[in-house]
Amino acid sequence: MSSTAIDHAHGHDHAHDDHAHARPTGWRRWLFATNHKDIGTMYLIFSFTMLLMGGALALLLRTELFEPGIQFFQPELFNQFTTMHGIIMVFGAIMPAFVGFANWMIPLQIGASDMAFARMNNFSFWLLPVVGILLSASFFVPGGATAAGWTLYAPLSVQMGPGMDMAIFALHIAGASSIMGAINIVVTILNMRAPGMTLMKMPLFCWTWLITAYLLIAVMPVLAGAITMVLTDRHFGTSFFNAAGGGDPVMYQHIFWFFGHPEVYIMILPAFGIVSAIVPVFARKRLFGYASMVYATSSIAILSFIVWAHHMFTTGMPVTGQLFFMYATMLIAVPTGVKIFNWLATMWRGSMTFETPMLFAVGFIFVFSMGGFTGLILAVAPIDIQVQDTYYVVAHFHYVLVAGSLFSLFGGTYYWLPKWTGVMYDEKLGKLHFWSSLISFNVTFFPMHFLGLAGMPRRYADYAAQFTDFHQIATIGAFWFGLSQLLFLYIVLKAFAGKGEPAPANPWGAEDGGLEWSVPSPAPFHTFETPPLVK
Amino acid sequence: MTPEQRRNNRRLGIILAAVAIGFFLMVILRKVYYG
Repeated sequence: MSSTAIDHAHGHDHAHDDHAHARPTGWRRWLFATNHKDIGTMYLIFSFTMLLMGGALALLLRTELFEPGIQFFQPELFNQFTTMHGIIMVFGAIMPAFVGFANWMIPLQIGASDMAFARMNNFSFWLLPVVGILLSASFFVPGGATAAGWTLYAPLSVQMGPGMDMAIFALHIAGASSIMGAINIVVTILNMRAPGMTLMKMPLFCWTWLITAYLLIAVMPVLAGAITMVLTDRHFGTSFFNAAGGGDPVMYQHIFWFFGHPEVYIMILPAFGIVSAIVPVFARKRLFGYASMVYATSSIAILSFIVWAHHMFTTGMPVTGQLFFMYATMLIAVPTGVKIFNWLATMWRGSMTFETPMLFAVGFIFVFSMGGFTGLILAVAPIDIQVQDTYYVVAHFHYVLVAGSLFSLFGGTYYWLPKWTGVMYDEKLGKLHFWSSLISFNVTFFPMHFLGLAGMPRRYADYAAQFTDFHQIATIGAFWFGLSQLLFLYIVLKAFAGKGEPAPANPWGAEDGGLEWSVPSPAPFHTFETPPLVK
Repeated sequence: MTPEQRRNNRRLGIILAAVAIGFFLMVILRKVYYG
């Protein structure tokens, strides 16, 4: 991609920000953080905490589902767990984790000294703990947390107690945080690249994040608009979605999914960027089809705006509408296929080694593709109408979001951990974490395809006896998967404690990676204060 | 960061924020006026 000549001289330029030279210590370092690396670290810690919280809720769900009948939780509480599991994982775990990666890596990869708006960056992050507290606290208000599903469909969302208001408020705050983060990323990438770092020389992780940030700016306000209208329906006498007052609950679904489908790509495009960073390094080849990767990412983002109603095939849509959304959805398989092809072509005849980041990247390609194929099956309107709201859909989106987004996050963590901590992680334990996660993930979610095809509906606390076997396998897999992530926590904490082999600046021998490998490991507090020259 | 870079950043940031606020208002006002 690019070769670089870097000037590390720390010439003092009066135009520099004061914050760029101060290094606060203690709690002030974190509360008033303006350094992109510190803020990235805080994002990653927050998102992993939320992952554990959302995961604990998932295990409570799986505990109840181990046997038919009601064992531990009444259906009302079960639905609260289901809803909060979804909201916490989407808005608390996956999205902030990718923003954490963006904060850490984008300035390092493009040769910028920091993010464009360092103080806004601090504010974006510190809004998130408020989101976490609001969501957690909503379990303890009268009526409990919202139980309307993560989609917060009207009319349920118009009817529930104060827990619903807290969820709406939390989503408003999370949305504001995401929009500010996205603005920061767009401005940083467009305005702060090192001299010579043209857009088409940028690492793909930056490209995927640039496109994701545009998606965020376009659709998070749409979600904010929808839930604001729910709020006014609940408290100010409007009837946007309240059928009793002449409103249209189906309109809520249209607005929600206009946000919701691009949201799926917000959670997967940066994952594509991470995999595109890892695969060439461990195949010891250049990434095949760099330009086509950029165009495919852009195509996926554009198409994501015209497929929303494939989530609503059963709401009574004209056949022409069903056909449009069906074919538009299938079209997304083309740019996605380009990406899969390019990763495989990069590996083809490469001198491959399978360290943990590569294992997660290859695992991602294999298992995410399965999720992609079930997505294609669900795009077919007559099939979707049969399996709508069954466990088939649950299996599909967990293949995309766990084996897709989460596996890429694990792979990215192992890949850049030496740069973050200055030491190599425990490779044996890393591999054990991968295999344990991959197998337990499939034990958990593969049987759900069969459950869905057999008619098991999602969001039910009870089920008919014939579904018991597959549910029990899924529950065993879920606990195994959950325990595997404690191993990940141990590996990362050990690396952050500085226990391990010291990492060189370029531990993977990346010849074609970003500028991050040109700075020492761990990356110094301030980097690229004098912009490097990219040739 | 030079003052000019800071000005450019601020200008682009304000444009993007205006776009986001515009989308938010458009979603609600469209429902208010056209149902």
